[in-house]
Amino acid sequence: MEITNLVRPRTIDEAYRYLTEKNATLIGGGAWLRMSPRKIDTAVDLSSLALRYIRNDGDRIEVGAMATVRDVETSSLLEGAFGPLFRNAVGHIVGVQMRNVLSVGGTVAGRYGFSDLNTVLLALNAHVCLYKAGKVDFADFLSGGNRGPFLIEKIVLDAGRGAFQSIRNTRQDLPILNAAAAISGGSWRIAVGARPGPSRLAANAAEVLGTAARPEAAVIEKAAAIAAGEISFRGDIRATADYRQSVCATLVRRAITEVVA
Amino acid sequence: MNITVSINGMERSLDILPGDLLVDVLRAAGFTEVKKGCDTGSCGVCTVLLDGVPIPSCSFFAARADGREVTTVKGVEKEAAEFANFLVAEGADQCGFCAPGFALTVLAMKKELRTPTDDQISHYLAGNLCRCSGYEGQMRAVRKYLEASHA
Repeated sequence: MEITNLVRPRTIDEAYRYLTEKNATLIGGGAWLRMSPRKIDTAVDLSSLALRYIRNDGDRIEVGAMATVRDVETSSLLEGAFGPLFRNAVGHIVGVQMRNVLSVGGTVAGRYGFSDLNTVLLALNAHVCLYKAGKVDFADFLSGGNRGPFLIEKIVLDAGRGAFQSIRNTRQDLPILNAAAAISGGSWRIAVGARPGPSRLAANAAEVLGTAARPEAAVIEKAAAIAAGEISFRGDIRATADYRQSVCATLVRRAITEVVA
Repeated sequence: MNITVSINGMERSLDILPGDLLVDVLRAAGFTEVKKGCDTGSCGVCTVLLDGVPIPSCSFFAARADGREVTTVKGVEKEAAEFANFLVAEGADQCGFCAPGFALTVLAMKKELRTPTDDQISHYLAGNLCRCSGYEGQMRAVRKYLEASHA
């Protein structure tokens, strides 16, 4: 990684101008970016922009782009609103040290296929707030709907209930597959990630569950099987596409069952 | 570019390149107790405390340490030595390469978690790999060190 100029703007507008006028690269946590072989002319350090927060905004919770993954893991606000969901989802990520560095904004912006956090945010129907571009639906964001330069200010979460499941070769390894189920706005949402591509919604599976707060076991089983059928998978160093498909139903069933319990 | 960092309580002015990583800057400045291992943030040997919080210095741009406090194991030499005695007593220290980062993470955990369970200890220390001793001896050492500290 070579960086020619590193700037530390004091306002988000200044950061945005570097992004749009100088084709600059934004640094979130920087931990993944630093492994890139890229040569960067202008890098923008966002750490002086007061974007590190997790706070209430009425009925919603806002997570600033520079909140760390460890902030998310230990947030009493998120724990109070969603139980152990976020702690369970991000606690597998490398180690405490790395989670103290990784940023929420960087994780979301990277649309990483291996992301555990993005799967949960997708299931919870989170919104991504982009500077000057407003709120973007998380599913649209992950599928690349917004082309061109963007600067994430915060992630907004409505109330909901959710659960996260994953399978890994070792406890702190990247996931072979992950899944999250949630009830948000009265409806079910099911997300599957590490396919190994970015997380996707299993809309047909969610439709089977409908708005039932406590679907019966047979309905849950059916939804899980539909999810495994409607999501696309690929093979990589960790698992074949067939393997991912075969464990998908189990993870989705466990996630739904956990929400219902 | 120039940054000013408090390292082990001493203010240092350092000339760095914008893409320099903290581990390389610290080692070049003579803090060779900060070890370089996997270079991907996975093994924990490069752990330092930044404003009291453990971070992987191999995955942190040095420019971001400007105006902040960095602590290496030498900055907490007395406390680290106390913990090291427990490691030695439990046969949990062999080549020693992981020990500086491991000790710093244990000290950070001690401040953050008052009376951690075994699961919490294991979870907190999961980012510090040891390829010599396995983890049973380390767990015994950590438990006994925490018990002694809170006695």
